[in-house]
Amino acid sequence: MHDPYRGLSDFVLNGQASGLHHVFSGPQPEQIAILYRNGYLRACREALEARFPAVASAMGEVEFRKVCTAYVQTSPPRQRTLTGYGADFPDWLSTEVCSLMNPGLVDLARLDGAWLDCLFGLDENPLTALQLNQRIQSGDGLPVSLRLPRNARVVALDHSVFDVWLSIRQGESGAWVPTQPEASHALLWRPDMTVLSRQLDAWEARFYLSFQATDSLEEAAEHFLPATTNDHDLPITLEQYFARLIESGLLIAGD
Amino acid sequence: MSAPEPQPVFRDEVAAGVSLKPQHFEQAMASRAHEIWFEVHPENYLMQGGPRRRGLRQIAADRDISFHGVGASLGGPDLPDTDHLKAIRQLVDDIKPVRLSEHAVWSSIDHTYLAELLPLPRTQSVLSNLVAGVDAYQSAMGRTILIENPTNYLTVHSDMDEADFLLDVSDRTGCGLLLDINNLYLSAHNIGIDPKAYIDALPPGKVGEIHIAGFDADPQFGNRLLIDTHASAVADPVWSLLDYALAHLGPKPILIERDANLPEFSTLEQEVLRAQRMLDRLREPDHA
Repeated sequence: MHDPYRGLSDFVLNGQASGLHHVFSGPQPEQIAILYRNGYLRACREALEARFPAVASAMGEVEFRKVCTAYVQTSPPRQRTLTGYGADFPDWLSTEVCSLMNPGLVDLARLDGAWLDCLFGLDENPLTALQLNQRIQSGDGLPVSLRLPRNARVVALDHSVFDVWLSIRQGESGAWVPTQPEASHALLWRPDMTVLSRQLDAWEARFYLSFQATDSLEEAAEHFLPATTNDHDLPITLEQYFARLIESGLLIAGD
Repeated sequence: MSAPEPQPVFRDEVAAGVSLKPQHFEQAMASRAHEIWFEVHPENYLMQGGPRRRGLRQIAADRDISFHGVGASLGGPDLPDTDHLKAIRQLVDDIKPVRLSEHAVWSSIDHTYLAELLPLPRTQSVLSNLVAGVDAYQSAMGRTILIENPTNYLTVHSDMDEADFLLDVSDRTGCGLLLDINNLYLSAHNIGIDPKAYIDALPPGKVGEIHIAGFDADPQFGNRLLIDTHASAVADPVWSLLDYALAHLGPKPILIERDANLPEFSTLEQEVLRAQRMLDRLREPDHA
């Protein structure tokens, strides 16, 4: 017995029309059934564009469309929603010719993906200075455990793309300029309904990676390095840095 | 598999509603339309948190919400994905929609999601798959659902006509039907079925909700092939067919579906009000 499901899915996924007559009556059903294949490819492409807007902007429409078609062929959606489609797109992109030419594109994809993961991540109420003062005044002291918000993402970057990414996300996109190799990290987190982000110093990256992995502020603090410049925006002491964490909505009181 | 306890597939008070998109959250919250309700695709809200999920929760506190699933692949070769059903159930428990509906189509094979509402050949074998899919969905949700008639662009191989096919599924599972008037109009236009005979074949008690939407001509085939785009205003012939359906079925919740080319919310509200007036006329004494 011929499988009508296979006949149509082969056409939608690969454009193979030979099985369509097991599904549809009439001659040349592929002329109209192309609606389904085009709809599938368009839905996947739109999902990728929604998740990776900076990559789409940097590549340009024509190139991004080609890349999406190739990606969809390699990694079709597995979940019954496209909201999270493309989780492995940055890794896949790192093997593509366009990325070998402009390797910063992969970092843009990592940042785009982390931004959406952060936006859709868990809602949590960060510890506030007021709450902390109340605890101290009531004799409770610091919460037993403090951790980063579960929606926080520490993103490893291989190229100096963070400022470019921010500009594109803020609608200030100009021509995409290939970037220089420069290892760094970025932090994305969402204290309320807006995703915040900033680039991290080397020690801060170690601090946040440790904090995220261990949920231990004490262990993370071992990576603290006081600022050695005269930049007054940087905290000088660990206590000042702790205050900065609270001010930024980066501390969640554990159970 | 036994079906959940039957529940009424429609409420006593019926009203008109509209598809809800995040771009319209604020206007939806402020809408002065008295009985307006909103419908969403639950697949777009399966994230852990964030503004989209919060916005839906806020609106659900004030207005009726219905869920219209697009990803279950009820009639597919495999049963609906259990992880997907669990995620939908969690959202159902959170938002508490007044109605749940899905499509009498398929969209998944070999764990690949095809992101399209693909038509089902109306054979006994496929009928069994659809029954199993609806049973699985209803069991996971703990309540009955409505299933929607598809848009037809091509004639599928069939042992029975579409209305009989869907009614058979309803009889076997206890599910109700969601009559999409736009889909029916387009199917009539594209493959030549009789839309009024289709409506006449539906027992009023089986239909729990009605959809209407806009369509567009296919870029290649022009008016010979009409596409269910949900990207324009509801067309006059669809309003007329809605009128015919209401005369046969009686008052039912009516949804204005709009998924693309979104206008101002106030424009959609005007379509909602037009549908509401049609429902109100059914309540007038000469319709009693």
